Amino acid sequence: MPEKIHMKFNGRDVEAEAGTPLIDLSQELGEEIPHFCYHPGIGVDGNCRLCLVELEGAPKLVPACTLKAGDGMEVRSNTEKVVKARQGVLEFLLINHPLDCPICDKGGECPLQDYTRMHGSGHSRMGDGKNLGKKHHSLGEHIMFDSERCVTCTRCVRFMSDVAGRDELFVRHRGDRAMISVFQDGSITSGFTGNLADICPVGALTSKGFRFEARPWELKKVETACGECSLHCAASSWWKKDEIKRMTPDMDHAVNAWWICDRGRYEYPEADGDSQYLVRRQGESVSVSAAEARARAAELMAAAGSGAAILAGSRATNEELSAIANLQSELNGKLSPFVSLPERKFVEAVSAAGLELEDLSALGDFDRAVVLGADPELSHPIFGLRLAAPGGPAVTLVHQGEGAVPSDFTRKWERVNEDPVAWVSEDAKPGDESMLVAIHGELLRSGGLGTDLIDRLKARPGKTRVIVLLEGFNRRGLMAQGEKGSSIFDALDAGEVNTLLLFGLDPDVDLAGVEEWEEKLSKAGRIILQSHGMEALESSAEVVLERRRAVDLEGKVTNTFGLDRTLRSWQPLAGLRQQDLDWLSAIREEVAS
Amino acid sequence: MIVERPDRKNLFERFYLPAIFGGLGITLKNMFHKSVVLSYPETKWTVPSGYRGLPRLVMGEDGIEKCVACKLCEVVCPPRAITIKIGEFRDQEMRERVPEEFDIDMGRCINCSYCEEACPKEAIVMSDVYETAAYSREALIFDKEKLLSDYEQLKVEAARKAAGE
Repeated sequence: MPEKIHMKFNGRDVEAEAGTPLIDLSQELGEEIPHFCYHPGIGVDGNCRLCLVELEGAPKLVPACTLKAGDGMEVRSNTEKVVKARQGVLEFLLINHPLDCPICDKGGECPLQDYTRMHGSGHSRMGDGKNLGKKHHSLGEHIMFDSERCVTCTRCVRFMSDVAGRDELFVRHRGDRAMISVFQDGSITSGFTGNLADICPVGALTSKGFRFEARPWELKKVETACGECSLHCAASSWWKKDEIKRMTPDMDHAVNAWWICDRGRYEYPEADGDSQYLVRRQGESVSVSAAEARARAAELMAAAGSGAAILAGSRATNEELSAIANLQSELNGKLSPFVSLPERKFVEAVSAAGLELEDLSALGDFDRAVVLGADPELSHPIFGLRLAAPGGPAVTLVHQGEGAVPSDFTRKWERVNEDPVAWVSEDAKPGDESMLVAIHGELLRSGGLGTDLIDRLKARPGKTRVIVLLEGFNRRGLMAQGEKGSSIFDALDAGEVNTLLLFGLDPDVDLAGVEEWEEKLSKAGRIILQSHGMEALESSAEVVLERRRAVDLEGKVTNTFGLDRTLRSWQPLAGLRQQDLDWLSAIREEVAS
Repeated sequence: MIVERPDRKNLFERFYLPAIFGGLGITLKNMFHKSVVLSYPETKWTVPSGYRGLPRLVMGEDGIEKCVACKLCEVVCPPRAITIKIGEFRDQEMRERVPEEFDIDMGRCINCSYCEEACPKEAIVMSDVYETAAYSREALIFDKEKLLSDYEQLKVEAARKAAGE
């Protein structure tokens, strides 16, 4: 428990934890000290000089970003002297700033704009023209750079080197010609570049995906969770009418801190075309309305009675999975409505042994991290980012095959190109150092690793934690449903199923262990399809329902280390669109009657 | 309630002839004044300067519209008559952004000139056009090309008028 201290801030008596950065404290108190170069996730640099405050006992103004709350401190951030200093700093910053706010994507949510409104002078005292710089200059796949707008706070440079672990950006030249540049071939390759657009306090680095898409005041922000991997980072989707315009991270120490990966930010799939709902009539697939398609699906399920079955996968919310379990027990209680989960035994044994990692906030407590099976920067990027953070553990990465990261990702990462299963059995790494073992879900799914590893890890003298990096969207939620009955594939072989609802399946993960699943599932005769990536079955399906994006879902999902996350969609849209949950309970009623 | 109104007219007034001749006198007087009636639409009204007619887009001297699609007029417009879609423009180093689509629904426009005030580029101005009649609602939605060409047309007419006077 950190010590509590008493201090004075702008004449107010304040109680705070000792060592709280003063800027963070001022934000909590609602009297934010203006700042550019300080960012809680990147740290202190002290170069922008905008956060100067008066400190009792100090002869001159001091930058607030370098101050930490201490007992008896007296700080004033609103005196005439402070405001004058800020005005001076802003006047210098605006000497070469182009003031092209009308065409700047940051306009409307720009700290420089806000501070200029607060303290900026209404006119320029400069007789000379502004320095003209490079405009719309591409830096890598996702980022557009405008050197005129830059105030050289170096947040981006420090983010790349300290947080993303790659020294790819630097400041070229000095003085009024100082400019952010890229080493070597002129583009940044990290998988976290989208964050640069968020942290840039001016419009110098903007996101190409959001370039000229909308102004911030037109957008509606919805706090949800990212659906691109099983970590489910806290993120917000931004909507204009019914179109999603961008994803941005929300701060959450338990998972993603301040960041989100480029995959989560840019790869939410585009809405499918008009033909989202198809119904088969006289051998032809016809596009129909959502209500019509759902009614037809319900009718088919009710008509089939005990011959109807469901196979649900990991692209569904916990509520939907529960509804499916209930519906299947109504139809035929002996069958399991869920795909089989070979990694269940391992994950349950990990939690039973008390070895499970609670969250990602304390990765720095470990001396060593062993990552087995896949490069986390590819499979679960934010986990990789947090492992690489300064003060993090020494990382050993054991995997074969594709790796995202060039060897200089971070100086601490040791790469072992061996079969992880063999490596673990030979090299059990005893010792009393604290260790985190991250295991990629694919190793467990293919049955490579057994639960004997857990016994060995439990026997270690040092602190040991395990995190299983599951594949897919909501495998952990699927696991929480428990084992329900016999596999549907046996019933399909026996010809007991004539109508099959395929709900939220992710074939690459959920059906990876099933050979020739297309052929096996086709035995059902009548198929109702609501899944991504199953185009092969689409032509023969009786009903095809909309394949939903994660950003359209409403409900809870469980992330890979057991944390419940809430997905939200844009409310008016969600209200208009009938959620699948309602539809599933409608089928249940129809079947029961 | 019944109100009793006493008849206050005297005998002379009750003849009504003095009032009739008085009225005819006014008519006669006005026959020799200059007429204030415009025979619209044959004769058009000349609007005073500063009149807020329908908004128009301004063409820059480089032949591209001055508008940079900042959307300030769209957000300030009280009846939400303006719809802008932003486009990217790469031919010139100093111009990045132009409106790909710029529609004003003249059926909605209330000629308040807030758009003109909000515009940082002086790209939208109030013209002196006051006629909004059309045969359909769709015809009242003016797109970018129409808003720009109308402005050019108005400029030509204004120049002709100035030369003629």
